[in-house]
Amino acid sequence: MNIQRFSEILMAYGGNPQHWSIHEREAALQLLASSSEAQDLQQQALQLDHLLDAAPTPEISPALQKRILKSTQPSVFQRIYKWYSLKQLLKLATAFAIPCLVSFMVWLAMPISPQSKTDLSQDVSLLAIVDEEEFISTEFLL
Amino acid sequence: MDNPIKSEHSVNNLGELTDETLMYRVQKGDQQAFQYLVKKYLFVLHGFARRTLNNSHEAEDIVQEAFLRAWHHAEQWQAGRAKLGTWLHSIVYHLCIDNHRKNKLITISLDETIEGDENSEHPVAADNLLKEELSQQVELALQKLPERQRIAMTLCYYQGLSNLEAAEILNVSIAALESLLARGRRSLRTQLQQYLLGD
Repeated sequence: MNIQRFSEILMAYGGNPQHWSIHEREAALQLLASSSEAQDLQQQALQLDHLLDAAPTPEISPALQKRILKSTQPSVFQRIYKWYSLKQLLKLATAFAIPCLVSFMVWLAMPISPQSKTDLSQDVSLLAIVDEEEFISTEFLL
Repeated sequence: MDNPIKSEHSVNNLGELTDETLMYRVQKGDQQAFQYLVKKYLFVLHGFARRTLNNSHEAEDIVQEAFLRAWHHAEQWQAGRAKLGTWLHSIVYHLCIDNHRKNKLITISLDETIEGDENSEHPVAADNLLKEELSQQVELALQKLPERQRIAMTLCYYQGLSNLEAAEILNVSIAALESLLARGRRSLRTQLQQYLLGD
């Protein structure tokens, strides 16, 4: 670290050591402590720093944070899709479909019971198509 | 290391988590972690955008878009590659550049006024008037700088980023960054000469 490099640091970063590169800060501070020329240069740089500190602080809209968070919320459709994702839908469909299919196949395989034949004959007789006994005896069945 | 997702940290304890942990949770879709990061970086990023663009509304739009991109592309940030603040500044920087190219902003002239409550009818003390005038002149001087000098000054002086971080955002070497800063400060010194003590 020499006075020339120290001057370059001040010209770029100003007089506040906190703005100097961390790699050169210690060496620059040592030079500053021992050199009156370095001290004068720092004072000049600090004058401009004080002016720069007078720049207004940008004001921020209080609603901006809410707007940002709202814009990142998922839409209703996205929430529904996330909940009922395709994989889950397939799982649900499979879970319901298999029992339904089994039940249907069992129903198809079931034979018609004699009780059901009697019920049928009663229904036919009520319709006054034939006499019930005659219906049964003739085995008028589908 | 405990799984941040399964951690029982409540919203109030998010401040105890590092940026890396918070971003890990954001990458997993944690809205509360993202909300905390917005709260933490909103003011800083807005200040950067505002000073770069000199337009409050555009600055707010830029910052909103930056956080939106950070949310949707959180997986692009990797711990160890860059600090989260640097990454966020980089997003804002590129959005500002895109905005500039779209709007083709020109450097304001001496006669052009800056944003502010210039027509205020509220009486202020004399010293406050001087402070207000100085404040406006400093902002005016900053806005008159060439864009890259202004951004370099904003990043290093006002945003508190290190020279390494600022150089990374601007995609320049340290030497180039220092050149931008030195030229910017020289120009500001010339513009604000009348306010410098003893000059």
